Amino acid sequence: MADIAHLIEPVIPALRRYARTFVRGAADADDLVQDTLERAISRWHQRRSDGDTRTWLFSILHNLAVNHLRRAARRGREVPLDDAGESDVGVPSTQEDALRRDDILGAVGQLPDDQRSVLLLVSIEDVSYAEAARILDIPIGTVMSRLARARERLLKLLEEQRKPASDRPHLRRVQ
Amino acid sequence: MSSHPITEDDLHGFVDHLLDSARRSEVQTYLDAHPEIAARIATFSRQREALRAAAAPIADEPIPPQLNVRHLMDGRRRSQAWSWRPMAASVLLLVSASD
Repeated sequence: MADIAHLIEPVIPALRRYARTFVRGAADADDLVQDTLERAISRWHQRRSDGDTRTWLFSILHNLAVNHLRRAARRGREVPLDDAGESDVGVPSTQEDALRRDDILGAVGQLPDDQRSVLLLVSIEDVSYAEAARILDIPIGTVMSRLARARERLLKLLEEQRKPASDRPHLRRVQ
Repeated sequence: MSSHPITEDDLHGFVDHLLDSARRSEVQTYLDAHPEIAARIATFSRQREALRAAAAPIADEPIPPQLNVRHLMDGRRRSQAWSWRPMAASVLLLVSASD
């Protein structure tokens, strides 16, 4: 039993980071990670012995997160995006390096779920393209096309953010 | 230079540091010759770095008690132990009834 904890524990910080950047909202994200850990502990025997623990944990978390977002969308409640760039309204920052944390995570929050998942796994979690395909249960070609679209789209969203408030469309998403 | 043409996948692999060194230098040579594409790829690389920097503090936070694997495993063992009691009790009842 001790080796379960040994294999799972090192992955928890990354699971929290993925949950938080994928669904936003720290409390919901940690609930999803807790569900993931409980599921992993109770289904430990179902884990493929040749499989990678991290890939397995990420796939459990991703499925739970997608269901969570679907339920939230069905309930029609507003998904709280952090007030991305709200304090910067009307202050055009021209330097790309001045991207603030909330700016970029807020923009990522506006990507379609399937593009956001690939971008976060690959860019932040150092997951290979083949591993991302296994976690998301999609062909690797789909990983690549979603990654390419996510990057182009994020670029546009960030450009929109940098425009003065007067000539940019509303960024707040209400579901 | 190998005969394999550079693909979009190679360009993303370049951004994500997932190419082997031979392919990486081929892509670099290609980018040196195509400044417009190189500029786009550099933007993706900056985007990637900004994302990583923005998300990094989350993984540094201390793990809260409800995500402590040892607590979760302990809680599960306890609930499993309890779930055996009613069954054990009914077995006892059956045994004593058949006497």
